[in-house]
Amino acid sequence: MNFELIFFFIISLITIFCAVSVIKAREIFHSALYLAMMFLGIASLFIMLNAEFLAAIQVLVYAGAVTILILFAIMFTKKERARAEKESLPKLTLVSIFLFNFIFFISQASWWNYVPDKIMVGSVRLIGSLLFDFQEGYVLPFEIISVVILAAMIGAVFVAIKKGVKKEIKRDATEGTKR
Amino acid sequence: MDIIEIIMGILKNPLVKSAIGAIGIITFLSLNVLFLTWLERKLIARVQIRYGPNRAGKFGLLQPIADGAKLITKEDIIPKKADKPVFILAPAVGFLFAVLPAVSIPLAGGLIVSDLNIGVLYIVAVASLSTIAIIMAGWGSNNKYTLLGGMRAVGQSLSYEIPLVLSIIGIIIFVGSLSMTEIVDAQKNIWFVFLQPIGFLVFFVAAIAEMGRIPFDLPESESELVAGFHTEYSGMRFALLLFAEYIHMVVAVALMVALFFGGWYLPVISTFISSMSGIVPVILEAGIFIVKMYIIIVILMWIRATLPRIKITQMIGIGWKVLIPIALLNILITSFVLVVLK
Repeated sequence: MNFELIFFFIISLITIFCAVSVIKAREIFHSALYLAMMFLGIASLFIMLNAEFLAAIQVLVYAGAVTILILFAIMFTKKERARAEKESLPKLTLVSIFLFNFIFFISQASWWNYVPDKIMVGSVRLIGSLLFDFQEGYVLPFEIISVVILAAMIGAVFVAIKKGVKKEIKRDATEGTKR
Repeated sequence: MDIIEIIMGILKNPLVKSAIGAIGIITFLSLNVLFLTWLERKLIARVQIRYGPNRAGKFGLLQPIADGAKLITKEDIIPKKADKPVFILAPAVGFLFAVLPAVSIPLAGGLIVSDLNIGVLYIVAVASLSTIAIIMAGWGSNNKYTLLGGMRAVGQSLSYEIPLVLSIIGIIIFVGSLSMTEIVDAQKNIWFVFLQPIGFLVFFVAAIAEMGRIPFDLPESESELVAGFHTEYSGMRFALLLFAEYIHMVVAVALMVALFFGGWYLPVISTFISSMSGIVPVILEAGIFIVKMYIIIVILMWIRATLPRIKITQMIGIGWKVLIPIALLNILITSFVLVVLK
């Protein structure tokens, strides 16, 4: 048994444990921390596939930004210990059956059996040329995605601004009447 | 000879190599931190016309060791209503994420633990994680001051990470590689401070903010929040948090030297050094690197002794409204110039 396999099993076990703990943790803050750990575990799996760029992006975007945003949002909430809810057996069995079917059918599909090769060293260059090459690359989908994300961002800002402005107008109005 | 060969064989084992690298990094950073705590107190004392530490050892040089002994022997206090596992783990996590970026920073030619081909990206990514430790400390203590400190830390790191990354992109465009060694080697003739002055300015301000030093030390501003996120910590845990903060500073400054000040290159002396052989040039280059680091660190301390703390609203405003547009402009100018020159 080589080291790589041992490490793979250790990292996978930790990642799966964290993924389960995200759901099972009593406190939402702990859930978020487990989520961060799970992202780090996935990043390590990427590194084992030589996809270092993906791993760095995984850490930067998911563990670094998304989790921190979630933690930030949790900090605004009240600290309360959640009560443990009892899982009902029929619900659980139903979910398990669906999940099993889902995984079973996917595993029958041909693309599932594809084992990822170790990506070439210097995969930053590879990803860059894949994304931005005009002939063979994915320039158009990439740009469309960026436009969609930009639209979502502008929309979010618009919604936020409207609410804030409304409140300000209201406050100004009430203060005006008091005077 | 056989013994040396065996030793070299053991050294080539990746596990042994990484263990030695980890021990080396932690030792190097810890020694620097111990010296820095002394230097900072002494320097700021001199600025404020005081003596500073002068009792333990010559010039008070043993003061950090005395402080360490004090902190180790102190009682370990955990608040009753604290979130215990989070409270206990926070300092360790903070220390870990402060040390990790150092793995990919070259101290001299060949003196690097792991020359990743995504070096800069790795450093930025891992450095962004240290906020999690501050949030853990702030939330785990179950105290409104620590919580406020933690929230400020998040706001700060979220808004200053973007200009920090954007300011580096100019350099990456120049070099065409993310590897730290290649970035330093590209500065053999001219440092990036001169090629990327705008980028450097943005990086400098954003790095100070990410380090959480005055004038951007809002997560622990003692006049408003007692001591911010580490209010409830004492003894060894407090020491570990403090250590993490100083390590943050050392790593950020080392990154600054490697990215903008030519790493181990000096205009005339480097040609002399490259003609030598053996282990001597490595030591000399590391020496140059460390001297450069300490010059920047002294400037940072000077800033701390001079400037007042700014408000949190001003701070977030500077991040979003000033630094990010400037950094984007820098990227635009850099790429434009490079395309025109081609």
